[in-house]
Amino acid sequence: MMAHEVEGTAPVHGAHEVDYLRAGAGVRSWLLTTDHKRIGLMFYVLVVLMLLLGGAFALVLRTELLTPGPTVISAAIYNRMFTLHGVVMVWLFMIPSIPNIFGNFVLPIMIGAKDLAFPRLNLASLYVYAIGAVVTLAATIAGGADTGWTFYPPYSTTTPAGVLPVVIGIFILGVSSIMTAVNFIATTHTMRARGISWGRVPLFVWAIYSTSIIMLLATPVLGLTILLVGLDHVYHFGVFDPTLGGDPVLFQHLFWFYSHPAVYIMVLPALGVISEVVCTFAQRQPASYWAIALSSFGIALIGFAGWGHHMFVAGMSELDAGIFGAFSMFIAIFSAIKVFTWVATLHRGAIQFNTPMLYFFWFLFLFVFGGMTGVAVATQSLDVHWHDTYFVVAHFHFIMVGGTLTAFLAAAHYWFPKMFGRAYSEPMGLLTSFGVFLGFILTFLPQFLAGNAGMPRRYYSYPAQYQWLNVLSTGGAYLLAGALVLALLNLLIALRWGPRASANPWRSRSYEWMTPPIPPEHNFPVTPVIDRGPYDYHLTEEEAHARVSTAR
Amino acid sequence: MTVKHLSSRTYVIVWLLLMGLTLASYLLSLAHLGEADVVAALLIATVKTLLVLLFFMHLIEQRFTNALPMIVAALLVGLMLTMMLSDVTSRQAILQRPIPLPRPPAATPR
Repeated sequence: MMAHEVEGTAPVHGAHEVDYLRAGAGVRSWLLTTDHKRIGLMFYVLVVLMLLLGGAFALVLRTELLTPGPTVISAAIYNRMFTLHGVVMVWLFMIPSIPNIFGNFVLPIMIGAKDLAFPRLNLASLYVYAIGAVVTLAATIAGGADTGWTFYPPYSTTTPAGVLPVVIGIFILGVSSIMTAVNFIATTHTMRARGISWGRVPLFVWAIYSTSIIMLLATPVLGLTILLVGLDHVYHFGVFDPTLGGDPVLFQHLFWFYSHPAVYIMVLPALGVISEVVCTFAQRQPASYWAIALSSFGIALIGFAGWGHHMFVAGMSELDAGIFGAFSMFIAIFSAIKVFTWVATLHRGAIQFNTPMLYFFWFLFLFVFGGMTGVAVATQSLDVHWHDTYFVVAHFHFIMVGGTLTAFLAAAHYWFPKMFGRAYSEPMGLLTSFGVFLGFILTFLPQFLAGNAGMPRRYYSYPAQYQWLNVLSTGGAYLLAGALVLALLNLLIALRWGPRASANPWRSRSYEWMTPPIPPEHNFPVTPVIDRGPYDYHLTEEEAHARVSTAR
Repeated sequence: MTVKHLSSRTYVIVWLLLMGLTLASYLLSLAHLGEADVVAALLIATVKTLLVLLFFMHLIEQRFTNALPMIVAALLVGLMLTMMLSDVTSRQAILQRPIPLPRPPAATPR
């Protein structure tokens, strides 16, 4: 049996080993590392930089929309900037954020593995991501696309703006996504410690696994599609250009075959984080483990069948529109299964209102509200009214940004003690959490109203009747940005001055908390054998520890 | 997570089968079956894909859970092609449908 610490902490696997942060010194040891935890941290730095950059673009856009007509930038710069905002936020922040940072860091530990299945491929995915980011941003600085992040032809194939370099940047980012997905799938299949059957895999791992399947299957389609747009733009191939005999709606089919499931690439990992947080802070096992695990899988699969609802007004056949509408609504069933299971998990739980748990409640509100508007938008007749208005902007920001951002922040606070061995300021965490939620609501709720009243999206100027809603929205954006910066500062200050955290400050039963406060380089000196589930809160901590042994 | 290994002989047989199917595709292209051309070519390509996946990508040697992502991938590609083609073909039908001329306004009594 493993030795373990006093009650309230976790058994220490590999306590004699140096922690991963001090395992090697110097820049070289970081740049050439194959340790999944260090790679996760490097992703952390890059992705947060991208969040700040994308957020800065959003603030400029909102400032421009403070008044009708020109405010701070020209119409041409506005077009390039909202394209850049979309590209950066979708491909450089939301898609890689939770899988590449927290998936990288905790997934192997959660299944009792020493590392990912292909550690060098993992490092390569980091560099490919960095190259993709540099190419995308450099291309945009050099002129930039003005097509929006969707690159719809025929505009994208005829605009004089520099579409090709941005498209190449996104193509490179797609390669990084595929590498990461292959690694997570192979790791989950082959590197689980003895005792961790499929029924004992933590729910976060189920979520990352489902996400990886989507990434692996859909990303190649996007890569080839946008490459065709680039070739159309430069060499006039005519695949999507109707004047050359191409079919622009075919582009939409191919583009949304990736980009609709991409919503779930962003949201599913967030759902995984939320499942972990709710179980830990309610000190309860999930009301139904299999309901949460399999609904992740269900969302991943059915998520592939709803792409056509983006094309209801594009000239799609009525039959297909009906099928796509029904499939889109079907996804709400799986999402509702999750929501009801989380709420049922809270029932009679010993709920602790810590910062991650507060983010859980914000997530729940945004996910349910955004999801309900999603069902409404999947209804063809309503979609015709709301299509390309701010209603849709508000809807997808609620689901994608609200869902991803609140879960990202929940994860950042929840796993902070495990990643860095220190505790952050809880009062500051709670305060910034309220700021994030209020800022978010104030930013996007007025956009539902503006959209319903007919304000189109992506427009540089608007009639004066919409101004008060835009002023509210811009005020909210600044509040949100301020709260995010404070949250970041809180964590940065804790990195240096935060008090030392114990190995398991939240008294979780999940496997990653069995390691020391900062895990050693190889997580476990000997692969553990685990004879209990990750949410066995019916066991005392002593009993839970006693059910972990070393491999014979 | 391998459950069984195959002999080299099996791989040779599968390779010969693939060659045979390639030849069949070529002969088919000479036969000009009309609209059945595409269907037959796709069927042969599907069988070849399955053989490559099962034997040369070793899926047949894996446990079912390890082969699952491949099966899911095949199903989703099928879904994408079906939905996309059904939309494209029905859109063509819509375009070819004659547009009804507006009815002349009824004569109003002066």
